[in-house]
Amino acid sequence: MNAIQLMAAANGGAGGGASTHGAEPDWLGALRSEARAAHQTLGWPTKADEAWRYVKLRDIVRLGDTVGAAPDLGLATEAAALAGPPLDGVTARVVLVDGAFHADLCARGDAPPSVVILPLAQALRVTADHLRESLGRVARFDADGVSALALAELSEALVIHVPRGTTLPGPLEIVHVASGRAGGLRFPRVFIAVDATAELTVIERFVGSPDEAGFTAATTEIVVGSDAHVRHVRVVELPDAALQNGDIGARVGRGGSFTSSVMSLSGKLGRTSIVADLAEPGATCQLDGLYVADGHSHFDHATTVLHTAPHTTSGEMYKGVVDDEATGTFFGRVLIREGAVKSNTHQLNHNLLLSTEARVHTRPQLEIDNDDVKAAHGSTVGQLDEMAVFYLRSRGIDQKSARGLLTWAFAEEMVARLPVPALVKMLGRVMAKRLASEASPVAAAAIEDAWR
Amino acid sequence: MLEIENLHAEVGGTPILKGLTLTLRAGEVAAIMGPNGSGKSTLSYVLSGRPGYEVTEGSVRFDGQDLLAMESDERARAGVFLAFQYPVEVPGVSNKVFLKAAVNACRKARGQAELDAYEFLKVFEEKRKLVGMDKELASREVNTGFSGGEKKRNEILQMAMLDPKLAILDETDSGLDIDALKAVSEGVNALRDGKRSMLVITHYQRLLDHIVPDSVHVLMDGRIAKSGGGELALALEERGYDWIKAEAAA
Repeated sequence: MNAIQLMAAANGGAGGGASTHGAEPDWLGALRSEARAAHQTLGWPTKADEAWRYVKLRDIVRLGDTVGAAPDLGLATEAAALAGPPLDGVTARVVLVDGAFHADLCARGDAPPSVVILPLAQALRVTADHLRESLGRVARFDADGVSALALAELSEALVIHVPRGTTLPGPLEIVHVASGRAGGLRFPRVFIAVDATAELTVIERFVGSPDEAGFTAATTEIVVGSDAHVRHVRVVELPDAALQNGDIGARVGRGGSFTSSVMSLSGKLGRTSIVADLAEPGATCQLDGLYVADGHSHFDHATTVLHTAPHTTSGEMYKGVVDDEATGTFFGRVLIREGAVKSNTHQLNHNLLLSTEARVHTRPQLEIDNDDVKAAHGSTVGQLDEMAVFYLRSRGIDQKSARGLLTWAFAEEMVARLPVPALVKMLGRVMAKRLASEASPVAAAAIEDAWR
Repeated sequence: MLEIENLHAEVGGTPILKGLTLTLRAGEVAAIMGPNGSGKSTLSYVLSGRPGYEVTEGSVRFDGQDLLAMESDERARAGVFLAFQYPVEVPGVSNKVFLKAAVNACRKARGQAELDAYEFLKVFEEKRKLVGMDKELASREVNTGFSGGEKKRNEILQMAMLDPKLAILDETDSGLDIDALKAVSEGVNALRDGKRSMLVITHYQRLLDHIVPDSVHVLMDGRIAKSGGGELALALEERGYDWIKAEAAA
């Protein structure tokens, strides 16, 4: 990849509080004040908030309201090590350390010159209209106190703009590194606007130092233009004590499509909230997710699909593998508005419980305000199919390996659906190692061959 | 090879096998016939170690070992293979991943070198052709979306790959039309080598036109009621099972 040109640190590399505030436009100041007021009214979420009901909120609240100190950007080597090498085939890459740009680790590769990949302060000069219209509006900041605080504390943000008819040769990879040094709360934000007939595949990966124990509330706002196509992948692979919330808001225009894949793989708390608004006729979305929780992890997913316009289509498939004393939660709402006739939605959530102490909460919910729609939903919580375990054992595969192989296969379906081959391979290996190979080198070797 | 002695077994507290005795020598192909509910499938599950099938009395020796003391996967590695009456669908696991794991688990236990990817594919192709299995089908997820005949043929492919000393074919003919029956039987016959023993469990004589047994045993009410040669199967086809019941009662 070429060294980055357009992308420079916003101002001397300082993150934290000060980067845009000095020169921010009036509308942004007003928006942040509005969000501040909303946070004061809403406070922190409580058990009474349906979408936060099962989250152990005390872990977050005990961190207080202190926003993490400005990150130390002298961490290049460490951050590079934590971020790892770029995925095969990506065109451009951005590394954010504790929410702040790390320009040395960013590259825009063969991205067409018209594609904007910039920190907010600079992006305001080139994509002001998009930002004024949609920043803080696509991911609703008044949904809860965390979203409100995230906008109120907005400092840096990464802005991506793909103009009309433009496509990148490969995906854009964004790596969020939690350094373990900033402590407290952090609010990284990514704003993505993909104009009419343009396309973008974007991967957001969340990784962290083993010392990381803070709370990161990341927001991703995605505006999908008419007949535009956006594929978004969110991969959470954080250390054991890390707390993470991701708010994803997408607004899909006429004939456009939005595909989301959420992979909640490690960390103490991994919460993802998605609101997809199918705002214009013909808009579609597909929301996929996989959570693999063990130890004391809690992975929580709240999705809302708004069928606002007629002839809109949504699909949803979430799978969970929950072991030890971990918890997996799926709360999926689909709202079909009165005018959204001829809409079509199907939603599935399947869970595999591997221990008696593991917990799954699943709640698909349909709210339909007109009767000219097709809607189906369902959820299951179960154990491995004992007949399948016996079948594998009757072929000489030992009990532990048989269980590992079947668990891997359950999860692998979601990995295989990822829109980026390099991720399919990488996460496929991660899953095989975690679910099958600890149990059986023989099973692992057989799986490994399947990728050759 | 296989010595079953006074075998009693129950499922969910209900006695099904009630003193079954049967001996099979190496290379022998024995047919087990019997009416519905006589214990045919129970016998196949007891021999392969399915959980929930409890042996209450009797013994089974396989190749000099106490078969009943072994877990189902140990039995498979020792050389017992069950071709299921209803092969199980395993979504998400491809036939090749499944078979490579199984073959190498067996080879390892038998003191043979594990097959690497290349060697495995070579053997796989060879056996696939031997049992006449479609190439595309052979690579799909285990039995998932297969027709009845395809599932049965996949069982025979697995048998060919795992090279068992004893193959138990549990109603391999059920649900097959005549062409599928022929094809599956050809696969089985290709694996008949004078050393491998087979227990062919069937309800109907027609399978035995294709897989000609060395001996025929009639299972009734959990016991072997009559043994004989191929002529016994023909007599059953003609006269049904009632005369044996009457004979046994006499």
